Amino acid sequence: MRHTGFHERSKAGVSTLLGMLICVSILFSVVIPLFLYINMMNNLYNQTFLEMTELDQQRMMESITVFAYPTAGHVISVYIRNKCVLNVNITRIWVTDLQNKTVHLLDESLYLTPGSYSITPINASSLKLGASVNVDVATERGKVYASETNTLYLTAKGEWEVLPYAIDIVIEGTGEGRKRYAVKAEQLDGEFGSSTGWSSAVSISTIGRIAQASVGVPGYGYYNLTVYREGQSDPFFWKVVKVPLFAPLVVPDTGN
Amino acid sequence: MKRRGMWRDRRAISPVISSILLCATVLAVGASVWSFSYNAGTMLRQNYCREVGQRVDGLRERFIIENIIFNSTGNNTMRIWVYNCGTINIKLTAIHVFRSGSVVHSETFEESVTIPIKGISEISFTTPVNSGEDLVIQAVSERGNKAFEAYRVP
Repeated sequence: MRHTGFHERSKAGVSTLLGMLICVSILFSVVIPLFLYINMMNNLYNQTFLEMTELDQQRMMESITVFAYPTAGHVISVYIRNKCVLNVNITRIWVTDLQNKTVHLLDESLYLTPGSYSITPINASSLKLGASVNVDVATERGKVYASETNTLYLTAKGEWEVLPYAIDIVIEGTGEGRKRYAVKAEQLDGEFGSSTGWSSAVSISTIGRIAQASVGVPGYGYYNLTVYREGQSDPFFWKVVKVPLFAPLVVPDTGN
Repeated sequence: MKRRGMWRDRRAISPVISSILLCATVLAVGASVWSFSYNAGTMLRQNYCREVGQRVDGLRERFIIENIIFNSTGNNTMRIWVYNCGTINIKLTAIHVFRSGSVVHSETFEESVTIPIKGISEISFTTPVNSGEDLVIQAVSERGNKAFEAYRVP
């Protein structure tokens, strides 16, 4: 005779029920929290990625114009106009003395709304006569803008001015492709004299096969002009020129 | 002759005891499986959290070399300013100076240079470079991000 009573049937199901309960508890205490946690971390990653992409986009859109110009005495005025549709926070103005290799850092906090401008006077009385300076402006988003009027020159009279003379140079390349050059002008105290200590350098790139540069110099006299190809420490052209030059100096670059 | 030992006579174990034993076995095995799953899940979660956290921190890092100046008339001192424009503090571990694609000088810091958010830090070191050379300065952070700036030695 088979026993089919309540106690007989339920005995076989207890362990199965326990097994099922354990499986469900594993699902709720391990699998689902893990799934939710991974989802949360993925969301955090995606959110950060979007935030930083937006920051980079704003950084690309940012655009300002900087003009540094001399005003009375030892003062340089820095005109900054916000040309973009975003607010721009100016954090620093760099005044770099090219001769004495010193930096005058002004911690500014200028807030420019779209289309607005500001003029900041900088007292540069600590600079020596004959100094050439570059003015650069840094923004909070991490961009640096050079002044359109770089390089400024402090004359022997103690007044600031944009370098009054220039050596125009045209480099004629032979091959296609973009090439970069550096042109350096060093002031001499005579045609065969030694350096006065003043020098200035500009970097230029070819457009087509031609590269053109204008190197500002402080006055009449003789200058040792040297031209370097990018990545080379020895110049491929050098010449003593007398300023004023009445025509651009043409330099052929026949090398590779 | 039939042996009637305890292990031979199946009728000696009552159905109640067998059920209890079965349940106990299920509970023991289940508890072990649950414990293993829970620990494995916790470990997976912690590892995933750490890895994603590191990636998120790396994403939030932004820094630039804001200015460079080299004094050849002094003792060949190069001064560079690094600005942190990201949304997390950064730690600089090294500065490399490249010329024509190869490293001419490496400056590594025993104690990382920490730059707070929107902060700027000046780093100076001596390096043997000559006037007229084209250099690329590279700043490396602890998280492996890099910032580059080209510089021509005046």
